[in-house]
Amino acid sequence: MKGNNVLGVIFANSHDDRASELTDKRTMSSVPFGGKYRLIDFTLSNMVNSGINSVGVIVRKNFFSLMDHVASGKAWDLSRKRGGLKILPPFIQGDNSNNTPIECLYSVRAFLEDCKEDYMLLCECDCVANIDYSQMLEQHIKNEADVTMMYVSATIPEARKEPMVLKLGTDNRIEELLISPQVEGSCNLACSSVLISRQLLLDLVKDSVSKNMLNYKRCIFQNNIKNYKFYGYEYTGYNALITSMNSYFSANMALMNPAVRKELFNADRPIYTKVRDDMPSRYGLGSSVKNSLIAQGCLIEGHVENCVISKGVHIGKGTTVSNCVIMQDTKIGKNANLSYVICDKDVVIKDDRSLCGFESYPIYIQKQSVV
Amino acid sequence: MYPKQNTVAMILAGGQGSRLGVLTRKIAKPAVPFGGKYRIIDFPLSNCVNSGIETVGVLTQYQPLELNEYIGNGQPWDLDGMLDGVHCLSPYQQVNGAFWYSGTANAIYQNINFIDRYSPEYVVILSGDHIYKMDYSNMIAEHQKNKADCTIAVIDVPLEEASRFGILNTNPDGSIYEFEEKPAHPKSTNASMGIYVFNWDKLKKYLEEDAADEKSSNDFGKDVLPTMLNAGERLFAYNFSGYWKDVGTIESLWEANMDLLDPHTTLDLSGEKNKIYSKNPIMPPHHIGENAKTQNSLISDGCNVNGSLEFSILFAGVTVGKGAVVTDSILMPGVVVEEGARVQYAIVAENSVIGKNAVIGQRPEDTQCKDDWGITVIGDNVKIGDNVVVPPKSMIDTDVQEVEG
Repeated sequence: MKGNNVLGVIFANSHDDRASELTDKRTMSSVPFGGKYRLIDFTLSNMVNSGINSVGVIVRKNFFSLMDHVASGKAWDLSRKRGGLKILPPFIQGDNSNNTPIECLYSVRAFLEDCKEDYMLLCECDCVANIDYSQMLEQHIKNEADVTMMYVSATIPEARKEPMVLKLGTDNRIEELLISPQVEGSCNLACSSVLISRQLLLDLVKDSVSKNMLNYKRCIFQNNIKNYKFYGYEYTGYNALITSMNSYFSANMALMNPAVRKELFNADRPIYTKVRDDMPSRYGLGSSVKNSLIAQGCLIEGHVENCVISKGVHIGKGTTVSNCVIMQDTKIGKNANLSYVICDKDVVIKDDRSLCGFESYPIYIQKQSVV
Repeated sequence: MYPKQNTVAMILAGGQGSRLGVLTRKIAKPAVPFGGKYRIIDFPLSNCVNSGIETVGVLTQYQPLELNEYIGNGQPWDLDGMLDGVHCLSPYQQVNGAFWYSGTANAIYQNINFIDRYSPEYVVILSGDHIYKMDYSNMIAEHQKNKADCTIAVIDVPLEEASRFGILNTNPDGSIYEFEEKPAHPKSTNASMGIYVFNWDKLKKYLEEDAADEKSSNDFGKDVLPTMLNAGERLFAYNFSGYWKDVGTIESLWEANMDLLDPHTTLDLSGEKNKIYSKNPIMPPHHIGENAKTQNSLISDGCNVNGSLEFSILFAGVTVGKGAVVTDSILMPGVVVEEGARVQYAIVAENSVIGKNAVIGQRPEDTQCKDDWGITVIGDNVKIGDNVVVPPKSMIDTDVQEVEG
């Protein structure tokens, strides 16, 4: 299914503040995940696997690593003559400060107006999941909906900023949309994917800007629940919402579960990413590895347990690394000891160093640090 | 109008590779998987781009489907230029008939038009079945320095092995005065690596003469090079001293793979420098399970390892079940080794399944009669049933029914 009349739009910087250590030098969408991916890989692959072949990525700041990663969009088959991937950097005119999603959308309205697709899928990159959006589109068309919001049945994660909770009627019509409500237990939590007709979104954005009402969640969605046909679409598959360093850490660790891997890396709907042509990973004599996810180009000579190890990582002889997330090209020397550590890219841990965090508080080591 | 290229490379990839048996049943030898994620052709293709050669012809003839598909538009090697890049060249029908490539020289002769489009100074002729890293630009520089018409790369081989190769005898200045094809008593240990640099105008002339000669077998080693030598052209040897291996046999293919596990190997595939590029599978990182053991092994993306590995190479998407033991073996993409199975000194080709508690191959020290020992090969898409014992040195290309345990 190619070219399904939907334009994908990704807000690359949304939720940057949720894991501020990781997004100090990058966007939320380019946060490394699962040994070889960046968060945007899931969103982009889901869109492409659902038949979307025109995607705009709205960026606000810190987007060098994102541009380097997605490049022409070739890895997602989005380097195309018709449609394809466009990075939409800020286009600032006059007072427009580009601080809110409404202003971002307004500043790229020329692009949105030129597109031919009738529908738009607005996504953020905080949800790790393998989603088939074509079912959501089917429901949207069947209901003759103006807006369809994806939700999961879950308790509100503590660290989630302004969670949107949906109150649904019997036919899944959204009757009420609450922002940051007090709820006990499970609720219908909106999760970062909204299908909307392109023209309606443009009208709402222009209207909001003209009234200087710039709160995205309230002015585009909450205030219009009664004016348009809003529907909910429940996603029931595996998902991990990244709302904090802790949830980032546990979402990585969840990949050790074979059922999670099978669903997330569904061979019929693969997750694509930029490739780096690393050689296969090498396990030395005397190494021991248990329950770990390891990318290519690594040299493992020590002991590894319950870890996610990214591309090109070296782990020296006599070193023990347990319950860690180690990002690409980090080099760990001999006889070191790491436990509950998140190591960003290109970190050097010298011989005999010892670093210990705790499950509820993994230590974070900044990109390119030397320990 | 095609841009003029200083050098065009032509890779001979049409051979059947019959000595690889079931491994080349459906694919050409250069498409045979190697080293955990590569195919043999990745080596000459990557060497070309790493040497600054961006116009490459790949001469295909035997089972070209998978090879053509693999090379595609050349994008994995950055060989997808608008006017240059990699082109697969198969035999084609001409005004005066249709001809297969009758020899290595004939394959180039039939593609003179392709090379002429770029009017190159030099043409590099390469084989699609050797594992090595080499910067051809150094060889071309020496070719220029010697004002040679043809330069042949040679590697020093042990004297006792020299009679298996084409041997070049040279004067002190490196110029060649004699070829000996597999000599019984070699005079030197300079073995030809099957890598030639020619001045294109000279090569074209000799190819045309060779094609007109009805007695010729249209082969570089047997016909064109001796003719050039006899005609007094300047032929030089270029000494290469890195890792180089012809992987034309099951034993040499197995050995070359195992060489990658040697921490002191001279074939370094890690790092950014002169990388070997390949088409990457779209799979998540591999997972090593709770009870797995991994000793001195190479493992690619998408593998699930729950058994024990020693001195083995796992291509993408291989599954090794609980209690299974894989030693000194090569498991190609998508192979499944079920629980309790034992695979030793074996090559298992793509997507084959080794049933529960089956035993494939044998360690040489466990064999009574050393002459009966060899690497066991399981062809692609073969199912070996539960409890089946496959003896050493066998080659299996059809399913084997399970037996009672």
